[in-house]
Amino acid sequence: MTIQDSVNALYKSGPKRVKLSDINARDSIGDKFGESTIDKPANTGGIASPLTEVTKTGDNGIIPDREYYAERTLTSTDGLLTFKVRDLKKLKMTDALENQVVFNFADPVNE
Amino acid sequence: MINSAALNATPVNSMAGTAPAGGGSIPLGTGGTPSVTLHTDATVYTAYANPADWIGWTVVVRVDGVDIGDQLIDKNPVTIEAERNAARVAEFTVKLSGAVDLLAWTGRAVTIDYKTAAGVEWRRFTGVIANPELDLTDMTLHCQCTDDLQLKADAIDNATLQSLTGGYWHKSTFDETSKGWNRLQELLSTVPFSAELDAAGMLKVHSWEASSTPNYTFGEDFLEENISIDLVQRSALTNTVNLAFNVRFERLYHRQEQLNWAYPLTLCETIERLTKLMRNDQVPESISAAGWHLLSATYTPAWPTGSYVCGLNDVLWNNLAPSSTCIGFTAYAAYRWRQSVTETFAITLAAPASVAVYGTLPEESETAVDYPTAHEDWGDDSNDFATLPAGFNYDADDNQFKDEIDFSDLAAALNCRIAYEVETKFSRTHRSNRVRFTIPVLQHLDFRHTVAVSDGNLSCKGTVAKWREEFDLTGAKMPTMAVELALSSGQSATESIVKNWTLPSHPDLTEFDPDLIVRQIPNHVGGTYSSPAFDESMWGFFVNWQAWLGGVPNPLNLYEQKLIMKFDAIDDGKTQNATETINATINVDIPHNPLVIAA
Repeated sequence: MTIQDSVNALYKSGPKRVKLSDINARDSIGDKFGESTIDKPANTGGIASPLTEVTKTGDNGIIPDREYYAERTLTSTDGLLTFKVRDLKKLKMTDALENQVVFNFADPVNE
Repeated sequence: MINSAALNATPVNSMAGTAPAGGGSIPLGTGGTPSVTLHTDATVYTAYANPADWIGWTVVVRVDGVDIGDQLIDKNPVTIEAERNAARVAEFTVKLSGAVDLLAWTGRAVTIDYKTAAGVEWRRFTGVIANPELDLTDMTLHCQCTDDLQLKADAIDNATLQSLTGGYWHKSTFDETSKGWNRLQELLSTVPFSAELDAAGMLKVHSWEASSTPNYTFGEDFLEENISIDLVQRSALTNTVNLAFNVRFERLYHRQEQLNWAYPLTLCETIERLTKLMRNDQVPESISAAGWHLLSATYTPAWPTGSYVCGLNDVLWNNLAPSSTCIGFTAYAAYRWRQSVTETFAITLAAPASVAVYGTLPEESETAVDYPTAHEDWGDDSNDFATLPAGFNYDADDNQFKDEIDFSDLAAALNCRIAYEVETKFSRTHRSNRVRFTIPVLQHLDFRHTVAVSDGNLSCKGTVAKWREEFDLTGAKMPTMAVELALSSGQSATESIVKNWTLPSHPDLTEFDPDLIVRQIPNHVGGTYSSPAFDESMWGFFVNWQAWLGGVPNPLNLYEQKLIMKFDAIDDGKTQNATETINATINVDIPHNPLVIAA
């Protein structure tokens, strides 16, 4: 190898072949709705205690007016026992000023 | 033979196969300064017309500034070899005597000069001893010397190298950390230049482009028996590069809508039906709940307190909250989102003249640039939605958008890659044709020169790619110079190297006649006997009849009284990761130098 060859061998840089990384898909932006009720006091600062749950009439009398997620089955770690669970989805209350207070609970199915 | 003594004592014309030709002049033996008449353009160089000129030449080798002529021996000739983009090297052999510190020879400074019989001296090499080889059989030291091109380049900063070469550089093609010698080679791979140290050790840049008129033309009398020609193999050529240059960036969107609403009932109907008014705050509340952002709103207050005539009755209207309720509004709201766009510039680089002769000889190439967003928080609540950064335009859907591309950087990236492909794939492969011959040492002939050969059998022109000078200290041979010419075979009609091209354009999505997006808020009056039942698709202002002088409200058709604001979905084509392809063709001419032989 000549000295020229030796010197030139020191240059090892070639052109880059840069690859773009994979990127995650982004969420679609669907129709967006937002609501505001007429009866909400313009100057309300919050919820007036006490809260009283809203009820409704069921087959067996007055029952809480609640909404539940779809029933799911839980199994004990030993596999011997199973439980059917309906997780609470919506809870409706009325505050001292008779304003409706709604609790919307997230679906815990993936917990 | 030693320094200060004649290198040769035998006229060249006594040597076999070197019959002199008449006329002309030979530069051998002429002075080493610019004042000396050199062969100029179109001068036919007839080699041995005046062979006596080189008689009496000496070579002056200095080590650490000291003339070592008394130690030089004729075991090997003194040689100096120079090649483009390579270190200039020299070799000589000295006879050792006495106590010699062998370890002290490596790295010693060396200069080599030629000296005519008239005492005119010119330098041909400046460097250091890189590799001394001891021969114990005759106590000689063969010294291989280098001009240290690589180390000298390493000592030069990148900005200076950029300025020196005029080359392109971009991180999408080259190593971001490169510097010195490596940076120099990167820059030179984008331009038709080479860089070498000259005889004095100064870094110089030389073009590969042959001048239209050669600096030297060598005639028939000295070339015919020592010419060799190497033609580039077709398989080594490239005349088409399919370049995929990917650019990823964020497209910022800002959509603004005007929202109009008017109360659906008259004052009298409001009084008679005991209908409620809209709270002003319902406007920002509903817009915010939808994930949009209120820019501004103007409200139409309800009728002022007073006595009004409704039919046959005088009625009293008491406006309890004139500043917080309304019977109409005009609001402006905005929404922002980002989209990832990958734009591929599919560029076909082609040399049509070469393709026409050799066929398509393609290569694939790919690289990418990823521009990070400068607005990671785009669309967050912290944004000032009323103020847009500079550079936004409207698209066909009346959204305002901006592609987050540094366009000057993108142009630099594209130019760099194209220049790299043109130089390394097209120019270098096509100029791999070589014509080699040996001549008497021609003072100053170097890489800056274009050389033609016209000896009756061969006609060619090219640039000097390499030379090697040899001084036989026995005096039996004249000092010679082996020259290697590079000739380009681009088959085009030009000898000029392409330096410019037109870059493909980034697609412009701008709509120059945008429309204002207006959304009319619908009304839904419940409690009437014609009120439809509520369903999830309904939106707008919902209000109920709470009383009716002519009857009672329909209790089955009452609504939850509220304002439901709705904003339409954004087209997936503007939210999902997008790919766009820009096809382009860039044609270039690869130089074509003549190379014709009379068979």
